[in-house]
Amino acid sequence: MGRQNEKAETNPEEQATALKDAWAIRPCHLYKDEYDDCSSFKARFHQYFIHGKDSDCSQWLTDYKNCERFQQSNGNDVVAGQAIIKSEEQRRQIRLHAHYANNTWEKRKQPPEDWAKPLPEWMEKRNENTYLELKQKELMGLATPQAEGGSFCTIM
Amino acid sequence: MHREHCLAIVATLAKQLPVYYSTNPRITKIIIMGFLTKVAAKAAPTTETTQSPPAISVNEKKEAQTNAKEEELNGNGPKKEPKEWGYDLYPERRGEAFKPKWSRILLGLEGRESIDRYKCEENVYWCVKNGPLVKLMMGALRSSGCPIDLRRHISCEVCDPTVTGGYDPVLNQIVVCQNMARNRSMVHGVLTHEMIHMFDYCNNDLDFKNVDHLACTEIRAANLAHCSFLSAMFQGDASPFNIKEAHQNCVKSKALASVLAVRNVSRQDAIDAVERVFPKCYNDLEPIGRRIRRNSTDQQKAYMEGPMYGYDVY
Repeated sequence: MGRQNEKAETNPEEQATALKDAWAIRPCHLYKDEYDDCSSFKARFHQYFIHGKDSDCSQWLTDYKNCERFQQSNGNDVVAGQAIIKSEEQRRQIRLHAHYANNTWEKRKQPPEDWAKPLPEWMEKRNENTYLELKQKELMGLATPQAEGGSFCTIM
Repeated sequence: MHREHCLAIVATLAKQLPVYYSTNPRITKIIIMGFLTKVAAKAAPTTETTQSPPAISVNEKKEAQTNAKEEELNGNGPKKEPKEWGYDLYPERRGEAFKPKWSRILLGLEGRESIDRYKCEENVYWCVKNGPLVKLMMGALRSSGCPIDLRRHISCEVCDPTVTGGYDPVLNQIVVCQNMARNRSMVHGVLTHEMIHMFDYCNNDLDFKNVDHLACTEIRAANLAHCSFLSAMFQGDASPFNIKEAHQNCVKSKALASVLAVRNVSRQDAIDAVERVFPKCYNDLEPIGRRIRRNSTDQQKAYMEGPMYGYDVY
């Protein structure tokens, strides 16, 4: 996976608009967590179970080091920040490429029209005054939220 | 005369049936009915017609069955259920109220349906509020323009004991089996699995009558929501001596079982469909993005990553 070098080179033009995607930089401890998790025994077993070989975890460590540098420089180390953003972008591209490469079916232009079509009358009747109906009304702000976990015990 | 002759043969046949069949009235009835149909067909006079009725192609047949299903759901039409949709596994989908048997009530196995339903709905709501994968799926559906309405899209029902839940493509509704999925983790698994089908239907022109489409969505659901090493071991697809890439075998066999459960296709056709679409569908990990490892923080990580891929925070 070692896609991005620790010291990524960027020219001055790039630096001007370097961190327009700063939202893509995660908190540094998450990169460390991902690396530790990826290189743990359980994860190695899981990788062998799925792929038949170990995955390359080095990119998480590289991102963690770049993130630390970026944080310690109070965001002034644009090179390190840019390296993380590029790494995240590649990570997204790899994941989404597999999604869009799946041409088993046609992609929809808009959501299905019958997504929330009315249910048959007997089913609507059966769903009246159910717990889920009450909770849905609460979520929509049509009912006042009720406290959960109340006891049903009464002293006679 | 002819009818009496038939009944005499049936009586003889019934005596010769194995013990299992004779103790199972449903099977006995099916066998006898089938036999009577054959006898009647043999006895019927053969009239040569110049025009044979038009043969219904597989697709037309399925279309007709789907239309019949929709008619019946709207209150019209016959009460017969096509095997195609697996409605025989979800009796309450037919509009029939579940009737518990006295013997099972006395044994404490049935008779608490309303309590079970309430508990099931409580578990569903807990998962919606606290389950990372369910929250991720609901956010992904909402950002795709398909928001989930709890009372409209999720239903707790009594099902056949062989299933824990299902997705009804006719009504676009998740069925959680209140008699089988009795704890939060099971309900969480059912909701995640079925919401993957919902996500596929929302984002793609998914035709559940197309075996390839069905196989693909089942592969994705098995890949993302099931098939940890333990479940693969219990399923017989992995063992301490067979670990390497055993996950793929687990996904294939789970998807195959799901396809065979809801579609009236031969085993070989189902295997062919799964093999055909497997490489593309196995690598498509949206919207979860990773194959979840049991007892790890993968679920939380997947949920935290959601907004980076354009999914709403639910």
